[in-house]
Amino acid sequence: MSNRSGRLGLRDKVFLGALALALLVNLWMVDSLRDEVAKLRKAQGTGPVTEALAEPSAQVTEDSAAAPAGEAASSADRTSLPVAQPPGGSQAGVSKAAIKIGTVVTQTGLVDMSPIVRGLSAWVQHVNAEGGVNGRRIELVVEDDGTDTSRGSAAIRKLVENDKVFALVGECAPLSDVQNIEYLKQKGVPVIGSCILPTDQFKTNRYQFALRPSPDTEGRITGKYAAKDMGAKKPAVIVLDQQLMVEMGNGTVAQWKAMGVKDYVVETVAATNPNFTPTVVRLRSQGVDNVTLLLDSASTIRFLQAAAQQGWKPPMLSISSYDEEVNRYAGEQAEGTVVPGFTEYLVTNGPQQRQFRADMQRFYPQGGVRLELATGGYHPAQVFTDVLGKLGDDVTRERFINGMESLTNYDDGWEPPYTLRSGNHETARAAKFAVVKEGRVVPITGQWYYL
Amino acid sequence: MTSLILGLATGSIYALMALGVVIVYKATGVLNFAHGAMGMMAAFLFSSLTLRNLPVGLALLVALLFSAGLGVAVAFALRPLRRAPRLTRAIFMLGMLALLQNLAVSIWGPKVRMVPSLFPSGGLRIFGFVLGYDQMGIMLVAAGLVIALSAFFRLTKLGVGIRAVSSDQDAAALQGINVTRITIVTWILGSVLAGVAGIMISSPAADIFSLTLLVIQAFAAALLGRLTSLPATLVGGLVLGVLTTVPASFDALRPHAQTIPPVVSFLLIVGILMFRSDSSLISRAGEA
Repeated sequence: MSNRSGRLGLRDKVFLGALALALLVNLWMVDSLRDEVAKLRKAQGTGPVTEALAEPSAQVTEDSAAAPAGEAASSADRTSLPVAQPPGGSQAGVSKAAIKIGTVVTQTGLVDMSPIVRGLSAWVQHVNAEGGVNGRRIELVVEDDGTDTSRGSAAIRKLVENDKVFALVGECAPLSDVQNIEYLKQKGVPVIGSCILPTDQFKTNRYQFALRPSPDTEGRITGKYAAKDMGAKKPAVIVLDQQLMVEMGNGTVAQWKAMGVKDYVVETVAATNPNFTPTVVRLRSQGVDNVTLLLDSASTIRFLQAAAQQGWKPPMLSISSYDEEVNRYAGEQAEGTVVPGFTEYLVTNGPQQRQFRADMQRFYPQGGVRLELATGGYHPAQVFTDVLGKLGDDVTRERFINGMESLTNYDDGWEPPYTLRSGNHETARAAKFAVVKEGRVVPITGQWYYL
Repeated sequence: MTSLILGLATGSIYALMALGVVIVYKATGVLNFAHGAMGMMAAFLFSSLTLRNLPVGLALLVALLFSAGLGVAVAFALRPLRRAPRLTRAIFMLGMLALLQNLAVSIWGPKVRMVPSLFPSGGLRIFGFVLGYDQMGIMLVAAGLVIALSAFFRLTKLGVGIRAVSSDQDAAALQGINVTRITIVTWILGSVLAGVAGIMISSPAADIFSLTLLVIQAFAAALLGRLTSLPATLVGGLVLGVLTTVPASFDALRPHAQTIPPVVSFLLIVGILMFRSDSSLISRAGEA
């Protein structure tokens, strides 16, 4: 490609430019993934978890003996369902004996979300051990996208078109999921507990049930807490420059505006930022008195360390500080940091949390499973089987979606009671706040904090 | 003044990262897209060793020895491609990047890791802020490496050999220079520099992706140094640091403060590739 004198020709330049562009896109995708993982961990983050449970002997659950209908469902309140249209034909994934569900979870490659599969599998095993749902076993097909969107898209298509699964449950392949939202919508496949979902999809996509507040709402709740409960007069929000984090940051700012907070600072942060000292110096010089960090774990530690170096410690909120490893690395500077959580803290030890621990102990007795991630599969699986149980023998996707959209003041034990309706798939607009004390994440109160 | 100093501190990070890129490119013509990933591997190994209570100095030595070994491995892996087009070798390095990333995830998992600083905590208060010893250390190391490497290329037989090979491999071989040996030494040098940069930059904490992503700014700094000159690369890094830090001190740009670096870097990369004269990009010999 270069000529004999070694000079770069036009083609060389075009190639190099294309390579640089390709690299940038590649790195951006990796960067996006990191953000999605941070977001996921934040979403799943449920406070101090000291136990670790076993790796499974198999990822795909085995069915078990039959049990009375509905007994396998969660302890949540039940509501009657509207009468739905009878199925026009056989429903994908549904037979007299079983209902097949699938999930694509990133387990290899750049990240390992396999605990989600463990949690999902644990509840499916629990249900099957008690006879299934209305006499039907739950069959779980697990795929791994290997942090590869092509593989992930193929896996999702395989589940839908070859395996003919009824629904995706505990879906968590961040890069692949975002790319396949439209595909799943076109195919009419319900997705329960998707770990990554942009704000607009909560209102416009009737097939997606993320089972949490939207990123915008999470940002608003955090903003409200900073301004109202922490008394911030000039708050700042530091946002990782990725879609869902930016949506969350926008929510925070919107909430401040709604509350009449006019003097605030917003800074977006690239994942490549190697030096947070300029950010800290700028914030301090502007008189910022409260900082909300919507950052990944590494950036959070680096920000906290840079602030410590400047001898600056304003009241802070941080979505990554639920991870006690982050707090350990950040040291003294992390103490007192407030942590928002959008699902129930495991230490709350309510009925669902106890059931979760028992099931994880039962099905993974060797330990080694990260529980705060495992809830990301267990929780949506519980909601799925609970709604499924209410459908009776006539199981169709349409009836299932209607069932989900009929949940009223529904208490799944992981979130405050919520109501889902067509055009609004957000669960309760609430969070629980915790604080970092001696490196541990300790709930401030047992009460849900509503927007 | 505060922004300027902070910009120089940030720029020295870019420069430190870019030095290894330049050296490898000078001698082998390979654009090392995996430079950041190679640094990450060293940083993570260093982190693992210190977490196992190995003394920092010993951990550093082991990590840099590992880097040297990694350089040798890459050099041998590239041998079949030494006559291949530049594009082929660049693609090979992209593959190496992916390989190292995945290897790191396999070994250490995707979690963030604590990397102890090589410098004491604290710093000096100047112009109303604290310039950390770690930042000062990176500035000094970057400048010191430029001086030392420049001297190495001019004053040592090995350095002159690298320059000769970078000028014309065939001619160098005809003069009895062992091109294979020189190439391996160059990769060792480049890889160790990646390791030094990785270990210093990733403190106090890093994940697998941070250093890999930093390669964009490193390339921009290296291109400002025409991919040939180490002093110019240092200056390029510092300029890049200032360009990406000072604008954030203006209110209008502040919301975008931290997105400026990658944007500026990428614009610089594309701009330099498209508009610089051919000769300045490729005349690899004689400029150290």
